[in-house]
Amino acid sequence: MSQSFFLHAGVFLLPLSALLAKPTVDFTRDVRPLLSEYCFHCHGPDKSTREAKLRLDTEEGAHRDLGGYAALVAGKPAESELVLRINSSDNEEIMPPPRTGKVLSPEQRKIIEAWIAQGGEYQEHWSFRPIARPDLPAKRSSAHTVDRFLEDSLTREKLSLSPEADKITLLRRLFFDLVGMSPNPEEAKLFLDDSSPKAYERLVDRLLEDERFGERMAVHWLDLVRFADTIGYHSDNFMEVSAYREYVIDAFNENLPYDRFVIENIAGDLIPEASDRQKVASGYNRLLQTTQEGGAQPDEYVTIYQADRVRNFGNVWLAATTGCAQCHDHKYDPFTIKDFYSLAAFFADIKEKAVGKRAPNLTLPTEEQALKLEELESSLSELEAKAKKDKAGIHERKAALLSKLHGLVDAMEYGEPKADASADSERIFVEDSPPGDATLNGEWKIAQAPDPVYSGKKSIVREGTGNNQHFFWQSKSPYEIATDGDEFFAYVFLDPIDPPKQVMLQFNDGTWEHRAYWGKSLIPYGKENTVGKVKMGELPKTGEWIRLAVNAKKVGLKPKAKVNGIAFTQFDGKIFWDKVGVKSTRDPRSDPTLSLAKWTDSAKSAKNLPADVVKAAKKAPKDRSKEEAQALRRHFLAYVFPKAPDEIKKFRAESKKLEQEGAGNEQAIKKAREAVANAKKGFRTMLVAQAGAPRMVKILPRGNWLDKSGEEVRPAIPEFLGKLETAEKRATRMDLAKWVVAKDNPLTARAFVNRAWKLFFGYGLSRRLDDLGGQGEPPTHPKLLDHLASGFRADGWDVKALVRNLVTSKAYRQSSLPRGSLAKDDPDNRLYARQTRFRVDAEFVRDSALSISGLLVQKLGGKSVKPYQPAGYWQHLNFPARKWQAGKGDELYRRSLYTFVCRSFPHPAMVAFDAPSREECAAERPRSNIPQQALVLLNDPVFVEAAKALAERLLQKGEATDTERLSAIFSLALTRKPTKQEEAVLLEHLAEQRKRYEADEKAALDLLSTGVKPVDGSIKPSELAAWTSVSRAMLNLYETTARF
Amino acid sequence: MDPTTFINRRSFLNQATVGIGSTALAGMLSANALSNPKAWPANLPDRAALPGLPKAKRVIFLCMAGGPSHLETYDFKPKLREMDGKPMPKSITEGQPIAQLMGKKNSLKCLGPQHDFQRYGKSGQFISNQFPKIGSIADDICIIRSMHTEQINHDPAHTYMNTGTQISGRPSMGSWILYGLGAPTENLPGFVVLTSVGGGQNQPIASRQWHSGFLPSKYQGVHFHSKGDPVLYLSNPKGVTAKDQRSLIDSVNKLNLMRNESLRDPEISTKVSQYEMAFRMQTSVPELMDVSNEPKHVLDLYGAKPGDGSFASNCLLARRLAERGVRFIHLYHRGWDHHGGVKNAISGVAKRVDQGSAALVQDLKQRGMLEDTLVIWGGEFGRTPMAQGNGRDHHIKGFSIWMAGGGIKGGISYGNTDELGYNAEENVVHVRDFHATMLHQLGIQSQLFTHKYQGLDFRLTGVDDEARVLKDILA
Repeated sequence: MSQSFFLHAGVFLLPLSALLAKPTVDFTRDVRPLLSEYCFHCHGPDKSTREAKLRLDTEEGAHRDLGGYAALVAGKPAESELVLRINSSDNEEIMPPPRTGKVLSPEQRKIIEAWIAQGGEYQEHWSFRPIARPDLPAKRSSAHTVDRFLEDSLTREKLSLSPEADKITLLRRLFFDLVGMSPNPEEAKLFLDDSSPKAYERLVDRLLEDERFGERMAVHWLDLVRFADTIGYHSDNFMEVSAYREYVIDAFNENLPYDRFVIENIAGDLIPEASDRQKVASGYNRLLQTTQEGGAQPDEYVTIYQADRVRNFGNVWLAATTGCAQCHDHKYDPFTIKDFYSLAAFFADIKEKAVGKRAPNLTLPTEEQALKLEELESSLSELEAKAKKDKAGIHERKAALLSKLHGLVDAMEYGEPKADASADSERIFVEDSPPGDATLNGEWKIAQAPDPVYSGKKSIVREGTGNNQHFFWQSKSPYEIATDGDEFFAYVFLDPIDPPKQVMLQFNDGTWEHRAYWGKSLIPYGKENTVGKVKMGELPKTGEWIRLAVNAKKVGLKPKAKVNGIAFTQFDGKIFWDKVGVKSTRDPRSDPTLSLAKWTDSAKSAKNLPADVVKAAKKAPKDRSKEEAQALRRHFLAYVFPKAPDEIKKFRAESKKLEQEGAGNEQAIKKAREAVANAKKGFRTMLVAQAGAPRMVKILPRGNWLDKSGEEVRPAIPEFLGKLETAEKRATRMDLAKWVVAKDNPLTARAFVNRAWKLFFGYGLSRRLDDLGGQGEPPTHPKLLDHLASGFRADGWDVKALVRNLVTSKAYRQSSLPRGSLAKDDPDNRLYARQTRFRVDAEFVRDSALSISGLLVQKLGGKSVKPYQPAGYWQHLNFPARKWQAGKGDELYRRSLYTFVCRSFPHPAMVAFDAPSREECAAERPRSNIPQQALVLLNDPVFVEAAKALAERLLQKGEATDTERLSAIFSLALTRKPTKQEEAVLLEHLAEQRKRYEADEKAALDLLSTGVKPVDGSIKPSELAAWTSVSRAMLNLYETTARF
Repeated sequence: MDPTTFINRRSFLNQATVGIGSTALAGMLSANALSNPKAWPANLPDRAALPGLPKAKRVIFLCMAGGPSHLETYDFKPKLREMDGKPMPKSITEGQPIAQLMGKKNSLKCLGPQHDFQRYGKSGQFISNQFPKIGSIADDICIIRSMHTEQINHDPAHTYMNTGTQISGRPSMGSWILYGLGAPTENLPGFVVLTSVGGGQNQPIASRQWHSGFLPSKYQGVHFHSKGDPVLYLSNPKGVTAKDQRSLIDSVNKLNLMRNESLRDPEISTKVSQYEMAFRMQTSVPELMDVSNEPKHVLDLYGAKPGDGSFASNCLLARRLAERGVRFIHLYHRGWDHHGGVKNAISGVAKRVDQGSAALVQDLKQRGMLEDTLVIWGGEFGRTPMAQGNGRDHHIKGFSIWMAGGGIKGGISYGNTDELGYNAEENVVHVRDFHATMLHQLGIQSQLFTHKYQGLDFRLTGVDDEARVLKDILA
């Protein structure tokens, strides 16, 4: 059997050399991919699209009697309907049907025949089988276990590993792979000068302990969990999840065992006594895309979110395409639609608004902030304790006061008013003190004898320049205008030495547009000649008490209007104000302040009266008990009746004072509470999972959210993978998380190890990083994958140990240079007879430029930052419209993984280098090579600024020849010396640019104005500009951005 | 290759103009048999290529973002006028997805057409009188009145219209088509997006709408801006002239090629050609965007003022892009989301898009390009026959679009909604049918144009096999 036969035969190019040694067909490797690709769509797990009731994904199905014949007759290809149909020349008969556009090649048909001839045995899909601990193959050139597996297959191919790469290549490879940027000359020297045999291992250990390791690993991880700073859909607003990124970085740096990492991500909030950090980890559950779009239906979005979570859950943790079972059973893997919704049910406990703002639900104060908060909180509780104590005292004094008051009131005579008593009915608002039930504004400054007092013992004095006033309003017992004849009055005493220029009274019945004034018109309120500004006359006489009277009608106060406030306004001068009231024309019988019966009536619906009073008022008079009648009478006379004797009024004032004592405390408490709230406002916040009562989850036929006919499901893992033992208890996210890392889960460790392999070898062992299922690719080295996966699990899910193991292998350290006919024979490097080479990820392209130039600000974690971005790039965002505001200072030069990710418009420089938009799980980035990348490296201000900084760095080093400087720049950017030819190219470029900028200093200054960092003024602009041009060339080199 | 060749040619490059310099370098590259891959290679599998086609070589999609009301544009419903103010029959709306009117489900009232319709052209197509210029091309366009889609909110509905699914991360139709057919341009992106300035209610538009999803990144749409750099990072840094930039690129390319002597990495030679392409774009894009050299009668035909970023100017740019070999040109005009005041709003937006749309078709026709250019006019969904105040809510069960050129019959209508304009009921056209028809005209059998991703054969027209080509509208 020739090799070329196999190279063309399979769906994938497999290292079919295995067959040379052992010419049998392997079901997993050779046959299942064919059946999956060509047959399962109609003859697979999904019963809704299954044709002719035939399924070929199970052995049983393939052997089923179809009426005297079967698709598969073991050992007898000629009798197997499957073979007849794939070889048929009849368009009606041939499989797959022509309409599918799929055609089995003759070689592929032969494989199927050979398999049936050999017995047609099925094997469980490789990734669903338990992870094995395969025996180690014999040691060949290397004792390293990874190499033993690789060399085993290489030997069979009569191939070998490539020689070790040179030290510089190794160094740069390891830096890019482990810390995500190229080494600086000092870091390089440490390794290059270390001639001990352990130099390489020491370098690996150094880099694994470097905090940049966590940042590098996070870039990959954040792609998987689709981490972004915005919600994704429609208005794509900000959401606060940056603490999650920090969690991931820390987890990798602290080498948190992967099983714990899994549990904290999926169910960190459910860990008993969960730490803030574990809660932050559970933010994984909130990273999905959400919406705030008006008109979005909550039910629909609940459906979209649950599908998103199930899709991502499968992709990230299991490398399974669980998302494909949303509308129907999976077509290639045994995931059913019921499995899909049962998985969704695990996440149904997460509290969230279906449509609306993502409000953070965890605060993360810094130590300092926490301390400050503690202080504020303790002073608050002190205040509260004091208030409580005071309250008890006040209560006691009030009780004493009340009993005295009740004695007085009970002894007082009171009869309902008579009809003819109307003439002298007065309601007083201000006498010795402002009204107790109104809001006060402006200073109410009390005056007493020997200052002028009109009645009682006090008056209010106001002295000011220009327009000034004090007033009360929002009175809880407003005065209702009885008739047009009502007359408001206030007593004033104008200081004869400093008289005001204008006096004004303003009345509020909902608006202040009722004003009367005396004197000049200087106060700006109201419009002249309206009721909003009525001139009553000239200024009253100074030096004596004058009664100012205002007829209600004259200022537009109509009957039934409720006056809740009066303002006392003056322009300049000094006035004593006293006794303010209204001479009412109301029939006292209908005045609730004068008539107990009338008041009782109004008390029924009053809101600010004691409950027992209201209750009594609500009863018909004849139904009231004696106590109830007494309570009404007491309250009325004690607090309402304006003609009560002075003794009672005195008690009123005292009880008011007591209340105010309490109010002082309340005020202080309110202030302290505000301080606490303000302190919290500065805290970092985070969106995390919070469990609530789970939503009901139903199977949605065809994924249609409007179809409510499906069966209700409870949380469960995919049936073919087992069953959770939670007894009667509803399984939780915690149960799910524990299952993911359970011993018998065949997918988790394989998925992780496979991706880790990809980071360091360029491809996965199974090349589809997000699908270990039937439509993925069987691993090129299944035993090696299982060896690594089982080892990973057995070593306590030790990520750093896994990485160390991979990068210390001879296979990792081999050269990536093309060799022999490998490029032709094994173009996809499935045998790993050489290392892989590739342009590094978008973030690392920029990070390296920043590092080479010295601009990089290496600082771990923190909120997302905004480096330069082209103006107007966000112009199509709306609700609200937004502008990208570039950050200041350090923020411009942080590592790229901290750059704010807006899902609708991710940073264009990152997009150009294939960074994903973080909308869906991205296990693997494409590696494109497109003109936009050239435009970014050439023209993006950050790369121009980096070139400028790099030039500055060179020129600040003092006297040196151009050649010496070129040598320095090579060492910074490429960790090597230039060749003579390279030197010649750059020297010529330098000479040309130097000449050009010397001739045009303005152009030089223009170039140097790119970027906000000021340039070193001591360097000649033309020189700096010319070297900037050379530096730009260096940053644009493929070698600068690639790992070999 | 002897890297010193470059050094020797240096003096020549220095004396040459920039243009000659780049040609010379490109010449050297090919002389050295380095791969200079075609900018936009085609990836259409042979089996998916339709015999006898394509009728259309390129597509210009005039996307009316926000959801144009079919009832005030192309779908004349006298019965709805009779029913104005009366309750919408429950039999029609029961159990239907509704967007902002959800809360008013039990008091839905009809809103009659807010504008009059008239017959235009020899074909006598009914078109709202707010669109007289589009009326003047009535005989060139095929109005489809029976569209329906599956997504009722803007963002997912655009995603659906552009990618055939509401799930993010799938390629947009422009990417699919460019990926399949490539493009005969070496100086411009093969898939260009333009968004017009102005237009009122600006629904957000995300860059995912022109993303290449799981297809290679080079096939993503490139957004041309009317302000600032027309293409991101296109302008040289301050103080750097085209000559400086050329000299820099020459140095970079030389160093890359020298290094490749030992590294022998095909990515490096690709890189070199990408720098050449980037440099060509730096010249060709500004040249393209500058419409000031268009004759006055052409500017007048569109109603375009150079540099104003209007829809009319973008229509003119679309023609210029089409002439230069761009495969898919996607114009977005936002401002169709008329929840309120649909009457005045339609008049307003008509003033912005009527003339440009019609001018584009006429101009292409005059130049003989309409026959192989497929022009499409339409939004992500339609609007309800029910009133939302004096406006209309989102509606997915029936709406209108039109197509012209590219082998589509002109002067016809296809399909109908019911008498109230609610449900498409005659010759119903699903979004995937529309996609299949568009691909068909480009010579692609949608069924067989697949790309494997996450284990599945993805198509623009969806994983199921339900898409049909609208044979009745093909010329």
